[in-house]
Amino acid sequence: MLLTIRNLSVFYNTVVGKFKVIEDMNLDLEEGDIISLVGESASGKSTLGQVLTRMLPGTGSAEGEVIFDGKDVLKISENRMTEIRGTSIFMIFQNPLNSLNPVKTVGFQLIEAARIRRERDHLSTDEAEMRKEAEESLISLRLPDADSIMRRYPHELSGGQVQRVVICMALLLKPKILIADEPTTALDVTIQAQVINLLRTLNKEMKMTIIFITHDIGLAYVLSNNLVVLYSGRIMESGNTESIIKKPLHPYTSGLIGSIPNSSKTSGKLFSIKGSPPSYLSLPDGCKFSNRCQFVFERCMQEEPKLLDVQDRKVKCWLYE
Amino acid sequence: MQSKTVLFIVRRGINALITVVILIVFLFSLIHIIAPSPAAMARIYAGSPHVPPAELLTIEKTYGLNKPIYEQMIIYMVAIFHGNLGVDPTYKVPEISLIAKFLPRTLELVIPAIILSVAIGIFTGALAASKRRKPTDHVVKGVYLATWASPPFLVAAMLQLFIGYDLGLLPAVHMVNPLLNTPQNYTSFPILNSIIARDWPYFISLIHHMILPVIALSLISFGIVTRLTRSSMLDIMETDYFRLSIMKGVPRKKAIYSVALRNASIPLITLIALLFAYSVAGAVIIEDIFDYHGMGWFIVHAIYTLDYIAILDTTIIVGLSVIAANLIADILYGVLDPRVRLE
Amino acid sequence: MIENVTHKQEEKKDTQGKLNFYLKMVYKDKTGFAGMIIVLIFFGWSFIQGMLEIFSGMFSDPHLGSILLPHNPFNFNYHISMQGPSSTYLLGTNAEGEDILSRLLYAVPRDAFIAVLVVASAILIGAVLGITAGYMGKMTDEIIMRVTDAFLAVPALILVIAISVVLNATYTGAIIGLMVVWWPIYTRFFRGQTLKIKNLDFVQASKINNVSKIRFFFRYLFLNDTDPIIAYAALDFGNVILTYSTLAFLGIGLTPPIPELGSMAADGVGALPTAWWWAIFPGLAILVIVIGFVLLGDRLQDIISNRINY
Ligand SMILES: Nc1ncnc2c1ncn2[C@@H]1O[C@H](COP(=O)(O)OP(=O)(O)OP(=O)(O)O)[C@@H](O)[C@H]1O
Ligand SMILES: [Mg+2]
Repeated sequence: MLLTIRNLSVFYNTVVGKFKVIEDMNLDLEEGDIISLVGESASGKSTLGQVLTRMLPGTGSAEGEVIFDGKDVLKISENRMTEIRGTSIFMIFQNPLNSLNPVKTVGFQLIEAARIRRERDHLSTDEAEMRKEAEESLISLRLPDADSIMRRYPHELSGGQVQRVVICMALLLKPKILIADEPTTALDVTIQAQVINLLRTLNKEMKMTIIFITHDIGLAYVLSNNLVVLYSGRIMESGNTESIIKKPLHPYTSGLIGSIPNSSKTSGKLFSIKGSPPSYLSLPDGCKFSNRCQFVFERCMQEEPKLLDVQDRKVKCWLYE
Repeated sequence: MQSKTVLFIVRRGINALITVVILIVFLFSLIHIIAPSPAAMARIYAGSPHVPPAELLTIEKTYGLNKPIYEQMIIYMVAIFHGNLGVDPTYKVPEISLIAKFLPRTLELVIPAIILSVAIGIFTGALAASKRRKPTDHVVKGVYLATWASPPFLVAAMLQLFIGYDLGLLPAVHMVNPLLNTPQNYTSFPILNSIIARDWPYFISLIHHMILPVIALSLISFGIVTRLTRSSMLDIMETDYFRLSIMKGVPRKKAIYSVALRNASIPLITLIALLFAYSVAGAVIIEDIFDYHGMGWFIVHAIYTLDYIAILDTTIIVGLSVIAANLIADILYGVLDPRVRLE
Repeated sequence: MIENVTHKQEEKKDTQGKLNFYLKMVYKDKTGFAGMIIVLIFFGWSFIQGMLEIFSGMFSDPHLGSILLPHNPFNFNYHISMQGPSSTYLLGTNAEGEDILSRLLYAVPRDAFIAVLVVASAILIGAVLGITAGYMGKMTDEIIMRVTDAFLAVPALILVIAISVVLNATYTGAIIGLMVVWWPIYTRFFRGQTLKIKNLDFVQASKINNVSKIRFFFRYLFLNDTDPIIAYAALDFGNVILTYSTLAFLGIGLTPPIPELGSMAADGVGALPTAWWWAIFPGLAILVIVIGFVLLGDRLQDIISNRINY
């Protein structure tokens, strides 16, 4: 097991009080997996990614265990964590626009990433070599005028270009686990496909484990072998991507899949789940999805279901007790 | 890029010039409001209310006080741009020569004080930001809030009392030991003069007398730097690009200094003009308490003697220097930050 | 449409809720709370003592002005000249043998009065100029902003000195000087706020003439967007008090024997190594008052900019 999450809870402090965003989560990640995290906005996808790299914002805090390489990421010292970040676990943050230092050139920031990788591998840190490596990574992301891009400042790039530069950092750092938080939002469809292919190649050739965060179940289907469906910070359903999408068990998953445009089931009409997710400050007592669920019954409102083993996967729903 | 930068500088320069003109017009009107008639103006120039009318008339003639107001204003402005600030009624010498004598001495206090307060401010601000919400942060905040809230005369009086008088470590008053002979006036900066003349005892005495006023000045102003450094560093530490450098595996300490502090220090450049203004204002009190004969001391004397001309002229000079400092800061900022563009 | 935005009742409820929230947030932070207590005591004492001083002037009964003070602040007594702090004279006496504590307490109301007057006038002038500049734009904006820049160019203290010396360095001169100099920052602030709301849809859409639009901005900004002003003003009271005390230190202001914090310190500096209490205590009094405003203002600014210590 490459990464093991046990009883993980994450909290945020705000002006209106402290609230729990992720509750008692358990999840395992094998080496070489590509796992997709899907769910509506505010379901806690980014939060989960951040807690795995210990990059929660100052107002966040976590309980439980995140075991990577036999060590608990939440408890090791800052120095040990620094050694893990970048080359062992790397996360591409959701908002690409402000991800680059505005007063340093793109080249400087890419070379910095290459240097970290090479220093940890005890390889040569020859400036020209690293520059070449950085340029190659830009070219592999369809940024042909790599040399000019390297010399520019971030404000001289478009949003999509910045996003690809950040993905380049992942190429240069070659982490064991890559967490990519909606890495293709600013890209057009062709480049999006290119990035997806690239991720797949990384996974195949370097056995890079990938956690892919997305709204888009279609992308998750194309890329990943495992799927985790999040709702209000809880895993509602998890298992093999293909089987979940072919035959979703949890009513929420069916809802999500139904809400893809052009899905065969809805015959062209855009289907969507009624209502909106509850506020974290006033979650329903029982199942958190109960107030929007078509199949809701007594028990759903009183007691929160456990994550049950059903067929080939895990489902958090009383329908399968 | 190059031509844009030039355009940016030119535009700032024009703005600065307009600001100077408005300031002069304001001060000119100020004195004409209290002395609405040529005779009243002439009395001010004479430096005494009891002057025979005949003499008033000659003064009116020589200074053109009976010309229409707008013409006087233009004459006044042209004179100022020629460096002619009128004759001081108390000292009976051209005002510009007095300012030329006193201003360099104040700069000798203000410039080291600015350097010192920037150094203290950046150091404490960075320390507080990197130890956010830990005891160090609170201590730094306590100290800078206290110095910020103290009246300048309290800071100066305390330093003078404890270090000057009680401990006797440093001289408590004067600019230099009055028993020493003054070296020849090569540059009007006493320190440079003593260096050129190789008059080391005089030089050492100057430095000795400078220390307390410089410390007092930097104590009252470093808080601005601390506060801005701390808050902009904290802002930067929450940005995605700071978090990405941590994520890349850059050690936190290194990221704090090479990303947060570095980026935070660019806006600090704009503070230098503010610090300059702040220190010059502080110098008025500090020089009075330490009996250091610079521009501040000169202003205080002008207050006692109600010497309007001296007061207005020093105000113009201080305004000009602050506007110049602002202009320089703006230009530096434009050159150093790749993001600054023309609006 | 505009009626909707400034709907009376909603505002009231909203302001009430916000005030409660602020109080709670200030209360939660020890230093912010300490600042609030100092500010409350300062204004409370200033009000009571200020009233007594006014009445004492009205009824020409000098006793009334010192009824709450430990000693008569104007009691010359050369037998007890320059005595150090003791149980009778807590903060010592000056060269004339006057009790320093009584003189401090007697002087404080004037600082409160000036602080309120100067900050209020600055907000008013700043609002008129800033909203006009922001709304009219173009030439008007350019002119107002260049004048604002010119006033900001000279350090406030120096400009106040210039103006008040031209007005013969009197108390009134000092107040006028402060009022003339204090508005530019508020002008910039109100201009910025006006520019922000000027482009809101409902403002653009409403078909009313310029004058009532400007009046609308006034109402809108004073009712909806006051937070940053309040936080800044809290800090600014302290700045005014510091500047005024500095003026008094330089001899601009009331004539002796009427006590002022700054002029008391100035008199004391002359007697420095020996009668240290004479200069230091008035200075410390100013420090404590200003710290109150600084702590409160700092906390309020943290709350507004969402940089709270939870
Ligand atoms: N810094 C923060 N402080 C307080 N609350 C936060 C913070 N960041 C996120 N949250 C809250 O935590 C919840 C989960 O947020 P998160 O960003 O993990 O959602 P997400 O699933 O990534 O959503 P999206 O798809 O929109 O990116 C949301 O309710 C959000 O408001
Ligand atoms: Mg997200």
